[in-house]
Amino acid sequence: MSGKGKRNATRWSLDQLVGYECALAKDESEDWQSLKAQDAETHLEEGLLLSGDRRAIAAGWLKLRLEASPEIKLASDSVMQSLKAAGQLLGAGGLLLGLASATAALAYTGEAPINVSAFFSLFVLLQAVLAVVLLLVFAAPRSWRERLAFGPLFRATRWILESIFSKLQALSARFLSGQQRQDAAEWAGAARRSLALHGSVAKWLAFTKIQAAALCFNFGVLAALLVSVVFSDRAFGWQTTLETESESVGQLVEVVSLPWAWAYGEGEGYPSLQQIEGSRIVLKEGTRGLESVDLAAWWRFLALGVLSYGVLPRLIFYFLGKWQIRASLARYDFGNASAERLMQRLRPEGPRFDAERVEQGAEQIASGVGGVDLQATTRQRVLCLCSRELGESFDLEALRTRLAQRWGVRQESVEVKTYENGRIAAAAADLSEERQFVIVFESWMPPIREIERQVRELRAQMDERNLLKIVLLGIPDSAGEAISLRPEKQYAEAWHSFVQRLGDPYLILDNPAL
Amino acid sequence: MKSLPRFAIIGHPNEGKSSIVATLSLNDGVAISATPGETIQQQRFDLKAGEQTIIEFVDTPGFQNPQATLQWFRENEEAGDGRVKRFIETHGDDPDFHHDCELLRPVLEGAGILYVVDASRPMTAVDTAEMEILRLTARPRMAIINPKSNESRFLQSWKTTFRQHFNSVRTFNAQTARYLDRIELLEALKSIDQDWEPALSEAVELVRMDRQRSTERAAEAIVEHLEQSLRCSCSSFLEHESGVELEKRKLESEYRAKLAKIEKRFREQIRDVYSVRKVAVELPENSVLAEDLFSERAWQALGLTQKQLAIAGALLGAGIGVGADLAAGGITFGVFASIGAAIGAGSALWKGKDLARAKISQLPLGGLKVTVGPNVSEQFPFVQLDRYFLYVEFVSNWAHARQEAEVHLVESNEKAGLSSTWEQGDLKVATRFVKAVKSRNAEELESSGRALRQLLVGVLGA
Ligand SMILES: Nc1nc2c(ncn2[C@@H]2O[C@H](COP(=O)(O)OP(=O)(O)OP(=O)(O)O)[C@@H](O)[C@H]2O)c(=O)[nH]1
Ligand SMILES: [Mg+2]
Repeated sequence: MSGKGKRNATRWSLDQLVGYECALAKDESEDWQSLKAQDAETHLEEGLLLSGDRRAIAAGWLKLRLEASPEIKLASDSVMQSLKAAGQLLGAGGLLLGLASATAALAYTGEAPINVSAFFSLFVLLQAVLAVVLLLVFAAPRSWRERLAFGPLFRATRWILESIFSKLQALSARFLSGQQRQDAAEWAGAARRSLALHGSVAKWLAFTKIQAAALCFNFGVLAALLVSVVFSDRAFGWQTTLETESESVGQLVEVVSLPWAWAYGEGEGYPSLQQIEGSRIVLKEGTRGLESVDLAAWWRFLALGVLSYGVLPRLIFYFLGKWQIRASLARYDFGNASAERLMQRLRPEGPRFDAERVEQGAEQIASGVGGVDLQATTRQRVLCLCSRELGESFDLEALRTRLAQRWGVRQESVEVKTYENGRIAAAAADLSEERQFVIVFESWMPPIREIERQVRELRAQMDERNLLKIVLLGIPDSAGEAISLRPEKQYAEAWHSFVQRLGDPYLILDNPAL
Repeated sequence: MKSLPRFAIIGHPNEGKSSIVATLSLNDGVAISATPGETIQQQRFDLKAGEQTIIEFVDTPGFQNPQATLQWFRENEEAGDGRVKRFIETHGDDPDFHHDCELLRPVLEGAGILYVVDASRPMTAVDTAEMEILRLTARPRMAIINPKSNESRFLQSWKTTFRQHFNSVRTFNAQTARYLDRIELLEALKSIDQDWEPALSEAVELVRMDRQRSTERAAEAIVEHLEQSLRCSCSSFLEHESGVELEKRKLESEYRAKLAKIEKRFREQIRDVYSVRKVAVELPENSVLAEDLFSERAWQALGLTQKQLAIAGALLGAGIGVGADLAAGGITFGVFASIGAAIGAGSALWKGKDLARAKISQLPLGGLKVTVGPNVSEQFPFVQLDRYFLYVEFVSNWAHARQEAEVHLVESNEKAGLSSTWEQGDLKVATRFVKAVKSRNAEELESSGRALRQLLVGVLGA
């Protein structure tokens, strides 16, 4: 978590990210007011807050937060620890596997020389092929690559999970209560959200760990090879049932040895044609006809093969993975819902979201109100979508005023559009992306499938990294209030769960004081 | 066999559909919860009279796609009355529409529609779509307003809309509805479709008869357990006088436990009669019903007023011959004296403890017999009767949608029971029974018990 140059705000390390998620997860359960109070306690630099650099603000906040609550630090440390432990375990496993399999392949009874063909194809050729495949995957354009490498797998698992889910639904009705089903769906939503936010980091993290394990495997193979050569007298030979001439084997060997031929030439780094000829195992002739020098020439070839086609590519991939992790971390976007919420929290004099009735000060421009983090809403035009029926029962002008107040923006930049028959996505289809979309719902309307579908559809039309807001109306009190932005608790909870279930990291319920 | 009237209870998620089903079918096993989407499958709950099913109610999941469904209905106008069928056929396999198909299935099978709405909130686009869909099914339908709060600002607009979409509108609160509310609702169901009128009339008649049977069983239980309570006593033998105090205390608590046990049996029986199964066996401590039989408050709140007591005393006394019988029971003061004291000193005198005081008799062959009970206060039978009566009244009107594990009755210092409202005639019936119990006259007990039962059936059925 070291403060590697405060200025270098674009750096965001893995343990920072883990700590950040831990801190946000902990705050999730707190209520808005106490969070606000708690954040007022942490004295973030005013200048930093005003800079609007979300990453830097988040980093600064995280630092203070971790200092203030050691339990969060503890949690994030333990996550990191277990990641590390998992890596170590994988590495150890790889090493052992390498040792064991190579030792098995090199088992020598003295009756027949060790079969080079088997060792070669297993530990050199196969690895080379794997490396080439991976290289091809990387060479392909990003979109292809993702589809190729992770798409089918993801899709297959998803398909399987979904089909299991739908099968389970009927069953679950009998065994699970509505609450339990809801909890499960929320959990799945949270998983989807994390995957969307951190999928890339996780993917590359897994990638590096696997490469490291593979590297260890190769070290194991090498070690086994060296040990068997140094501490015992092994004879190597090759055999095949095919009608292969020694010449073609020699050609193959020569091609394979290209990477190191400049350092260790024929007869040293790889067997010469003559040596190849001499080490051919023909079963009926037994071992007698083999020249022991020819037999030994092979091992260097194998060792260098493992080094060039096993160790080297793994090393490269490993560092590539490391680099990708850093790139993913740098790409991590602080425009998502939870970061947005954090920014809202940190804004010292932000408009009060739960305000009973904010004074008629809507025409005021936002800069007066804290002026911190001139977020998207203040710059962009905001488009509020609501149903025609909502428009008929409520004064949309009053809604505009109240929303402008809430966000501290000019009333002119808040636009209200109605949609028919619940077709939210269709109403927003031909609108430019320049605006921020906000959907206004009556909180007492249950968040049903239909709405879920529309929200998803709307999201599919938008950039997936554009914040989408949901605003809930409360039932206006009897004192002639035109618009209420205070949803009743039981309704608000249902909507909160709805947003949770959707698992869209850029979807935010704009009534935080729930 | 003629098909029974069947109604599907339809509406939003979490609007109280299952609650309505529970209350109407007298079944507290219906799954009700504050989480929207608790019900995800249609499920039938029958209203029964004894073993016979009278009306079938179908609990359904809430609408999940009302606007899309309505859209489809509008686009497929040519299908006419076959629309529901076609809709289910087209969308049956779509998991997104599972709930909507499920809730329309009973409609397709010919069920009438009871559309449930919590009218304490404004109407939304979703509500309008739902009502329109139901109208397009062309099935007989009634709107039931199940207000979850007292908010009534939106009621009028709801009612106006209901009139356009439904054959009939009623308010029915699933959680507070009593027996009569249920009957009224069932009666009202007749009006939504004439074809059902005979079947429903018959059903309502059966419900009434079933209720009558239950009332009779409850009255019988009261009389039976009252007799047990009045008879209840505990005694033991002692060699010496030294242990008497200890023994007395032991017997006193034994006596209380015995009475409590009788009450418990009574409660279980009554809950069984009215199929109230889920709510806690014991009613809460501080309700009048759960009040310790010996607590002062119960004595003050239940039983007879002082004037009635005087009459009861006179009635009792006249029959038995002054005090003779009671004196034999070990009473510390004569009946008339006690009435005088009651009138003079107020109800504080009538504490159960004193009146269940132990009596000690010397046995002819040596040793002592210590006896606690039966309770000899004139008030006691009436307190006990009131407790039984209140319990029955409460349980018989229990709304099966209620989720409480325990119930708090409102306490009052007024006389809350039944007996304090009795005129002389009714008092006479009751005292005759009390007397019969004490005199152990089997014939008299039989006939006076019958009279008391009839009296109770009359009051409970009212
Ligand atoms: N205050 C009050 N609450 C009620 C009333 N009726 C139902 N509820 C509550 O409303 C919630 C939902 O009731 P349910 O009967 O499960 O609603 P439902 O329509 O079956 O809901 P789903 O099965 O989820 O579609 C529960 O918490 C009930 O206790 C009522 O008359 N008054
Ligand atoms: Mg239900």
